[in-house]
Amino acid sequence: MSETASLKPNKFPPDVLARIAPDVLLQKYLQIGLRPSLRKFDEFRPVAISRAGVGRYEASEQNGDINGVGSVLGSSIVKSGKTTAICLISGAIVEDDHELINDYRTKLEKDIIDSETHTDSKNASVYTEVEISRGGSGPPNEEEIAISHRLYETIYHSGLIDRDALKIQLGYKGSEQLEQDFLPHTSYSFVLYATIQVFSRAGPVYDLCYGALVSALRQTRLPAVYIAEKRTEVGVRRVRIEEYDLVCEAEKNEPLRLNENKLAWSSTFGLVELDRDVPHDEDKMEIDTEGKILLAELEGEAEEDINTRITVSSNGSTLSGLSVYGAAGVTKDDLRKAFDLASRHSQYVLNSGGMEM
Amino acid sequence: MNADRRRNLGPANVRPLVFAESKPPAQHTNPKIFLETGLIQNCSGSSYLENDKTIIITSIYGPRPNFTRSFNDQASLKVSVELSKFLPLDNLKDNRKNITPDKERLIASLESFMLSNFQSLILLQNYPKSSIEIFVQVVALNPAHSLVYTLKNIINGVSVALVDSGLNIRSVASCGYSGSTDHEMAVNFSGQDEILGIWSDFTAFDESFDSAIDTCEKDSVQLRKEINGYLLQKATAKQ
Repeated sequence: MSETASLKPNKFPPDVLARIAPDVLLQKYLQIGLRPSLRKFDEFRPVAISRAGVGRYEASEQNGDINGVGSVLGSSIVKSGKTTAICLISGAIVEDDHELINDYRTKLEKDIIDSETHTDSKNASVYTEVEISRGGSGPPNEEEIAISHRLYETIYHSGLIDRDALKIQLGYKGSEQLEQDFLPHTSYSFVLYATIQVFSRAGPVYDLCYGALVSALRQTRLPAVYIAEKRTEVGVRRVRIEEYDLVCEAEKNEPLRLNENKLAWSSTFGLVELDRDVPHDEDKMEIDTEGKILLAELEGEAEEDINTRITVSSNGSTLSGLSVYGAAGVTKDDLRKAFDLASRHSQYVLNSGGMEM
Repeated sequence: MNADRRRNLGPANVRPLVFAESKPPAQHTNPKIFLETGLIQNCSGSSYLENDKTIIITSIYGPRPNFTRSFNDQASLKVSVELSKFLPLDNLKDNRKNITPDKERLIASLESFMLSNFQSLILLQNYPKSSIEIFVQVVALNPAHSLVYTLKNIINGVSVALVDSGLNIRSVASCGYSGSTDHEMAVNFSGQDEILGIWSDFTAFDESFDSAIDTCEKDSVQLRKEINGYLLQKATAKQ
């Protein structure tokens, strides 16, 4: 009596296979010229940028009551596919002499920065916090921390915000400028904060967060500040410390000045090689690309498995940022292709995609 | 000095923005609500509720496997409320004490109230060894809305999200609100006249208490009609 052992092939639906063997699923799709997200290789998801209109000074007809209170200075909603990012911008006031030193020293001590960077720069940035809603609570996870810091650094080094743009021109209550004689000895600046909430995350969200942050900054309006009646002087021996109550005007404000030419849009690509060893159906073999495939805007579990990532920020004509992860085997041609796609996409988003709100 | 390296918090010695007194917000409320379900993809159920510029986003995750205990015969429920940073909280004060509440205590009391409400509504025993998490995010808040009124909106948002999630529930809850100059009350009703929870600032159970409950019930019935209508429309549109 002979027994033959037979192996039954297991069949999995795509969403299950994406979880257990993302690389196999990805290759299966690529072989027939498709992506797991069913987009074309170089196709971006549609982007919609709109005002959230919840800022204090963002008065608009529809939002009557919600404006005029609170400390939100700018806001935006950016949607890309099903993923939504909501960005709120707020601020605080800091004494110029103190901000740099304190911030700089603590960071230096904690090894967050090295002494080469962040000295005497004329650029300012936004302290960003990103929250990706995924059904968990507690401290931010790795991805959120990474994006928050990267956004801060990107805005800082891009030179989008001048430190001067955040300087506070103190005035009287009302409109007059303060006379030179009465000006306090210290000068003050605004510090900007942003929180970005991301819903329905489907893939890497850095591009979307950057878009939301920049759009909200463009809506941001800074309050006019005056010195309230109270002024205290504390003298300890020869050292005189002045304290002022700084109050923001309820109505008066002016838009945050941005260096518009530094505006950019960022695009992330994944680079993947077609694996000829994965078994495939000869009849269905449609793609004849040799070498690597560049995928625009990764989406879904199978595509997120791609480790080589290229992020390009561009304003349509000039390149303003480039980072490559898992760079082994990235060729000049791949980069050139990524630059080309990114700049075309930026051009589209910045000029027609609703950036002009 | 302790630096939180996980968050990008900025310099420590800043002063918060102090705004000059502006005109007080109008104290009227527009009962119109806008509801939408299923907007968030990576969760079991979600809802978006907009009422008079207050925006509440609810997402429900679960039942998911729960590894915290060796065995539990029913699902553990967790409710998290998140008031978005920079929201104006001045109007969320207690009616009796005229002080703006501490944000964390406020959130804790909202969470515990909702937990007790929904623990008796969701059939937790149908989901052993699992956990269900409800996340509420208040994205925008109309400054004219009081705490109790916001609570009503939150509960109704969660109710609709629960239906969207397909979790087993006894009935669709709907929360009614009654507000006067001295007292405010929100009562959460499940179907069949059953009260799931009462949040009020009444100190005596007199006639005004009874009439407030009646007002809440009327409000809740009205809301239930609207919610059922929306859900029915959504369900038939799918087919």
